[in-house]
Amino acid sequence: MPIRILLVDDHSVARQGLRMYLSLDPDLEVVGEASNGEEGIEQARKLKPDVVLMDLLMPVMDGITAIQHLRKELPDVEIIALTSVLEDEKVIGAVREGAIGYLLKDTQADELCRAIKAAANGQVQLSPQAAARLVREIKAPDSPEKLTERETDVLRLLAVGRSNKEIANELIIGEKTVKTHVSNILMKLGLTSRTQAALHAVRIGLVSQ
Amino acid sequence: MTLLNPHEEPGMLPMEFSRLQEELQKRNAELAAANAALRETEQQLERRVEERTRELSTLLRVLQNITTTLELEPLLGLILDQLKEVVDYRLASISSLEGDDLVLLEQRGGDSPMLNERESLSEHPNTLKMLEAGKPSIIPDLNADTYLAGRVRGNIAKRGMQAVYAGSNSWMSIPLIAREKPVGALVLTHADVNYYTPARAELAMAFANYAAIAIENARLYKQAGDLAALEERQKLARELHDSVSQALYGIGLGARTARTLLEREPAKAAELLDYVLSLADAGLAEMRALIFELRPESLRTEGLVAALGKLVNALGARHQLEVTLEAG
Repeated sequence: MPIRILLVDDHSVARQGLRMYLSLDPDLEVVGEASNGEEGIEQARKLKPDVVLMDLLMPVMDGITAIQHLRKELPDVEIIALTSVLEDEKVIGAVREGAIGYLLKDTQADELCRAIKAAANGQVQLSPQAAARLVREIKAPDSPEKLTERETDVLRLLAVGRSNKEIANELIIGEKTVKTHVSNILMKLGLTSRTQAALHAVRIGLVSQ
Repeated sequence: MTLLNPHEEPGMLPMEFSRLQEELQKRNAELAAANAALRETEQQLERRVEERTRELSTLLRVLQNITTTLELEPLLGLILDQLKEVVDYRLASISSLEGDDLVLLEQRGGDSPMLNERESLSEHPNTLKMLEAGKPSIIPDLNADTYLAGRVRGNIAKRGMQAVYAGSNSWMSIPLIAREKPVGALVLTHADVNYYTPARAELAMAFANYAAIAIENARLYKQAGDLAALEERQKLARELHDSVSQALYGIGLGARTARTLLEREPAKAAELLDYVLSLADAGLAEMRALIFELRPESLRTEGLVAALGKLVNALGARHQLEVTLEAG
């Protein structure tokens, strides 16, 4: 089963380029396109994609607002923020609202496919610099509940960038159980994404940066 | 017919009559003089009222002129020109207070205005005092042997401006006050000694109060205009950059795809490259649309209809819409 992708970007040239390029990889399938945040939410509801590539600066509804809505309504859909260099400060907002990661639009194209696959597998992939900055910029959870020992194990592995499958293999549990643990972790910490959970792990010293 | 009073001596009558006549003439003359004096006073009063009315209506007209001008540079010249209608001068200058310096902004009547010349207020204790007091300062006779006149003469000599000030015999400086703070000064000179009377000073002060507000407004207007233009330019620059980088991103991805296909399925690559080229066209059209916004040159050179046509094409290309333009 290929990873099902929704493209949300107001620039049709960028959208068409992405569609073309992603079509080369048989593991990826672009199932829909939208040209603003509002359309993006509608399409996501209808198509239930695995991953949404979300531009941030868009008319009608911007990407950050759309991410906020989508994470609440469809928590299983992972979102990668796509930004041009100028919207650098918006990246923080995207991660704060629950994007699993972000890609600059000048990122090498093969990186793009890798990042989409990682997101679909629940892997948090942040460069050390990005992680350091995000830890600084994104505030700690207000009143985190205590995690169980198992949940702490899952959080530690998630924070070093392991996929659901890898965590399952390492802890000798099912992949579905890993997902359940992750949902519980997010609920207990009051967070909306795996990336936020990973940043929390860095902040409390569960893993080193 | 003459009636005679039987009790009076007949010889007394003509005497009494002439005395009365004299008295009457004297009274009449007094009355005429009083009337003339009254007329004179009335006329004087009328003249003063007329003069005052004329001054006030001039002031009003002049104030309307200066308060409707928002461009700073023409405003300064206008202020000095209009001032001459309210209070006459041989030489007049307007300076603004910038920190502790007075900067000469505009001058009328001098041969060599040294515009933008900066002078420290510490060298002008008289001006400083005038600004602090918020009241006009008058030197009735520039050639008199007084401390103030001596200081002003000294300053003129120090700046080598004797030629400019030749023929100026009296002097008045007026503070420009806006929002209760001194923002500059007006300086006037006149050929006549004692020309600047308290009444003229009052008139000049009334004028200066409005002139200061007009200058402040013009300054704020300029600042607001600069800011708005800057914001608009930045917004367009951002959009242009965004448009360029998005289009290049899409085209780059397309070209990369074609490159990969060239190895896998060469037959499909050509078709794909055509598509990439169409993307490049669309990107170019979008950039043209933004450059059009930035600098609507075609509006000036080719007229509105042609410019709108270009805009319609660009918008159509950018949003992949079919747009038709009907222009009569």
